[in-house]
Amino acid sequence: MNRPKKLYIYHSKYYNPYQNLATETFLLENLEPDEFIMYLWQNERTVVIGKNQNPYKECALETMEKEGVLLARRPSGGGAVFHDLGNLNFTFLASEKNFNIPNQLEIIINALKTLGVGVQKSGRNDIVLNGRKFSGNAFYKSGQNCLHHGTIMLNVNIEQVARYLQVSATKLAAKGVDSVPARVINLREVLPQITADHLKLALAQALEKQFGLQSQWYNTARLSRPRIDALEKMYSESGWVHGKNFAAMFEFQKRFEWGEIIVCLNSDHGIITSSQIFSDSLHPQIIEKVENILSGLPFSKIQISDALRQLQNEAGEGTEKEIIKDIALFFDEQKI
Amino acid sequence: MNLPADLLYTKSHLWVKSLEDGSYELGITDHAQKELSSVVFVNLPEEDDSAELGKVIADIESIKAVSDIISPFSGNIAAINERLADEPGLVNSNPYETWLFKVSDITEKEEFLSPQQYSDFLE
Repeated sequence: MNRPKKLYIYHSKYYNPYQNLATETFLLENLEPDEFIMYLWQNERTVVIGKNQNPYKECALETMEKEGVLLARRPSGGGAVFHDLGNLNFTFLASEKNFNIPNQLEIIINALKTLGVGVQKSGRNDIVLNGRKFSGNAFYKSGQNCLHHGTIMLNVNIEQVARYLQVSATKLAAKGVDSVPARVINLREVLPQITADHLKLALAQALEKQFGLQSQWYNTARLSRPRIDALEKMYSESGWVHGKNFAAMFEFQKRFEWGEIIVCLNSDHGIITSSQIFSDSLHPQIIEKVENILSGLPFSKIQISDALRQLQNEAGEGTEKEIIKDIALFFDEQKI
Repeated sequence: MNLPADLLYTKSHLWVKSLEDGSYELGITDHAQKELSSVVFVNLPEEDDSAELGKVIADIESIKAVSDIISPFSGNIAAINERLADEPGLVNSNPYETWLFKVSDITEKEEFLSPQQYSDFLE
């Protein structure tokens, strides 16, 4: 069996998910064939979706936006996860010949064993504690270089997992890879004293033992700031985060005193690409104004609300103002 | 080994088919689909995107991993296989009939392998 010749460890000191993903991709792009890297990182409150997931379908974007939770898309597959500082992320990077998922999972299992927790492998790539998931793993391959990364839940706010990963029923016809809900558990439940630092140390020891090699710190002089900045920009752009192939369709409906409306919005790249409002109201020109203003807006409730409020202020007194006000309030009620 | 004789192959386990109008169809080989196992999503470029030799142009997500498709051509994406949006599993069930996209206006391409050369490469 092939073995790497050099073992490196790198700890990110930042909590920004876009920067952390950029660094991860940089490490993958610049990996030498005989190197094996373990990269450890933590994100501030972020929902991280899989490469081919539709965020409109997978998470409560509006609640996240209001509460300052970030959305990030990773390069690997699989489902949506919630990160906060109670979670430690690991990434194993190796060229194809040195990449061995069962061995890599063993590093995690052995590290936890030294901390006094017995965990088991379950299914293809999961590790469970008392039958509950505390670690999710995902994989990505580009050319000869492979990446295996995953979460380890130490003390994640589980209430918030449910809060941000719940989806609304108004979202229709959305394509993409679905998440699979799982029962989760924090390591703190069985190891009340555990911290991310303990775990990082145990992982480093288990890593060295697994390969029978001493590890070194990854030489930060290898990191190219301009390339990492460019990658960070890519990871934080709406086109990447919201996804180009994840056009979503939304349909909202309500009856008002002045008539009924059915609003159909299509979004792509995080932008409203078309809006149609069907209405039996006697004021189609007002409805048309609203329809026109929605097209081209970022698909964000705050932006929609601002635009409608402005339209309302500009409207003539009376029926026009009333109808636009009703529609603005109606959008405020929607889950987007 | 299932390797149609009218196709050419790459070391990254793609097949390409030269069409009469000078464009190429491209897909993944039977070997590649077996390695990936069940495909759950095919992330394709858009029509009229430009493809650059050696750069990531698409990716395939299976129950195991996301794997990048590195473009063996520089050219223009002339068409994408729209069926894959709803039936990504066609890549597994019929790898040589299931083209991912077509490339036209080719300015550069990598050196392709004959069925025999690809078969030798696999061993």
